[in-house]
Amino acid sequence: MPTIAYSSPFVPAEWIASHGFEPRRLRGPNAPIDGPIDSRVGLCPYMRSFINEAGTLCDLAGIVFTTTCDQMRRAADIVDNLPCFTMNVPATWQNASSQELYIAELKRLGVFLETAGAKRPTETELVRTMLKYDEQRKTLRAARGWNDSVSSDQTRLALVGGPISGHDAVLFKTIERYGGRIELDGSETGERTLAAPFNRRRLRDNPLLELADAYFGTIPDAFRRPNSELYRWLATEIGQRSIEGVILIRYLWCDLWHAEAGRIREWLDVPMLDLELNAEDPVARLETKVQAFLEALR
Amino acid sequence: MPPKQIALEEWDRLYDQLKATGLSEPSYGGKISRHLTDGDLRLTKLRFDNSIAALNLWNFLLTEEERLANARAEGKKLVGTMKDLGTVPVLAYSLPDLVAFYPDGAWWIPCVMELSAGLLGIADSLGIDESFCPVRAMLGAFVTEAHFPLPDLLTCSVGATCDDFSAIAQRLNGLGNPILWWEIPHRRKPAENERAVVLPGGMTAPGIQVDFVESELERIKKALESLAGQPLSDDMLRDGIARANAIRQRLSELRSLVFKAPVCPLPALELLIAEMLALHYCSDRDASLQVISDLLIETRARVDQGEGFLDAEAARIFWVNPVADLRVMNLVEDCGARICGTEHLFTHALDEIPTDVPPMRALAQMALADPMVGTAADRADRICSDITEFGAEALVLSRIPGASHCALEGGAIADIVAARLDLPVIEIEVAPLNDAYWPSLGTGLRALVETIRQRRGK
Repeated sequence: MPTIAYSSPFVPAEWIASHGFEPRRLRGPNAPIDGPIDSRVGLCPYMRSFINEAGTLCDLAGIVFTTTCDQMRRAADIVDNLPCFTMNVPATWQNASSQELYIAELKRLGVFLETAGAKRPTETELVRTMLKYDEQRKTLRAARGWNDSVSSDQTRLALVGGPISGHDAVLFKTIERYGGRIELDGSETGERTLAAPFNRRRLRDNPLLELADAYFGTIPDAFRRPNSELYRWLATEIGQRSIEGVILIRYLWCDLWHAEAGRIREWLDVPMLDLELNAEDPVARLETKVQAFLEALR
Repeated sequence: MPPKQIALEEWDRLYDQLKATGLSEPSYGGKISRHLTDGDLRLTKLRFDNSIAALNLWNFLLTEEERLANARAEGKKLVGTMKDLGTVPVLAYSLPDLVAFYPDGAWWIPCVMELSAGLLGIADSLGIDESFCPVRAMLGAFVTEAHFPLPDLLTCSVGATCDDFSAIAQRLNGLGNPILWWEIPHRRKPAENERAVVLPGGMTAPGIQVDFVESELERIKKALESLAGQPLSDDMLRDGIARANAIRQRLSELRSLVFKAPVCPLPALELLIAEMLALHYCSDRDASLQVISDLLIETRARVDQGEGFLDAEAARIFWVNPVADLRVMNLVEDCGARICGTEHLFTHALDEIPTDVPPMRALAQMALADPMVGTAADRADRICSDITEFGAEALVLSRIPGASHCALEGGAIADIVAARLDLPVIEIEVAPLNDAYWPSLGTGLRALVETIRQRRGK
């Protein structure tokens, strides 16, 4: 099945799937790879790894970029051998017109998919696909409490920030090795960016509107203006899970999360560690910071 | 008086001579050197045009803080308009008793005050370090309240803007400054079956995007009306657009004269300052028009008399992006080059606002013509077109340190321009103060000038 690669959580997988394509949310390879984007000063390493990984997919029908960050928005300018779609995801959200723009962009994405060979889904097909994904997210959420036996010498941590590439996923093991336990994954690739459960009645009345509401209407993120909902979400989740420390993860040159570091630190009642990743260097260089942070928390 | 670039102390002597012969000055007049007492230390390292028109230009620029304070004292309301570079001020100045300014302008304070104001240190302390664009100085300016009065209303355009600015503005918001956010979507080309709208500057956008921006500007308009305590009618806005266009027309003529004249009639530094006046009129629309008109008269006279700077052999350079260090504009001329075309990220503030559509629609079209909200290819198209019109022989892409858009955009623009026009292109980075990098910056520019001269011989 032809694949559509994307990275942003604001791209609804079920919208792509309902068109008959395989949505593949790339998070970057486990090891750095060369591709259309070279390494240079000022270039987001996550964006680079995303595009270079997409370039390796042999069944790729297109890449969906979003405007949620400057570098991803501009990345579409420099990818010239692959079909690309740039989806406008408004930064503002307090007006109905922002959501209307998001819905218009979903429809435009649909046209792009059709141009790439997809067929437009019927409303029944869309609803069926949405329900399937909703169930999968429900399962994911339920799995959150499976391993609930926190030993008393484990420190309860929250991750907050941008995405974690495959290469940097070793961070989880590093944290565990030094006595930490991730109780809340608020990274871009974690539970923070799961779309909200669908309202079944609204889903049947107007599936596209419900899809927009579950994604655009609920996912809190640093890029949104204002981004007060991110802090509201963090306050709720950190409070409910008795978090003892927060690790902010951000990629080199990511202004959006970098700028939040100072504010989150001031706002939190618990200590915070600011970790800058670059998707290429070994995470081992960050081990000392993680170790020291966890020792200080005990 | 033959055109000449002179140092600050020479201007003082010239000023005394002019005063002795009955120089008539506007209310903001005086010696440029008096601004040293405000801490504007960079002035001692700049070379200035020796015309009275340039004297007024500098004094007008350097007295904005006083104008804002006076406006507040007179009971006028201040609107801090962030990021959109030229759109919201047209709305604000269409209402009586509103004065709009760009807090973004603080990005020049570290240069002008040679880091003595400590604004970057304050930004550092708030977690906004040197990995961000120098516009982070704005945060320090808000904290110290020493460089402009805190505005009564603060707006900020977001969406397809640079992450640096959006992130810094959000930090400002998090410090307790309310911001009215409005959205400018990423401009795209209309699809085949979509309604297309031609924007100022010649680009096109889908009608749906123009509709959206118009609705966003309606929100801004309502907020401004509420602040002003009166509605903004279409006639008032048409008048505001006409006045904005009057400034833009004169600037357009000035730019054309400067870029096309056989001998450069106005230094790059003064032209850069003049172009900046289009954004928010330096907080006085009528005075701004007068300053630009005087500069135009002076420049026209020089062109008519064949007077100017350098000579007709000077290398003709097109400059992309504003410089955080004003002194670099002097360096261009030191290296034997003149500026023949600029794209400082605000061509939409220089192109005339349409007058054949309803005024709010016209402003929406203008906002969407912002070079920052489109693709690098769009920017490159405009740059290529202007290079051809102004006869530039090379392109300088001046990177803004830390700016999220520069890393990708610069290379993309360079590739397109070099391929399409077969011109030499260089990229340089200009920090707020470059004294330590002066030799390397100069070497790069001199090498470009050499290249241009060699190409002429072939």
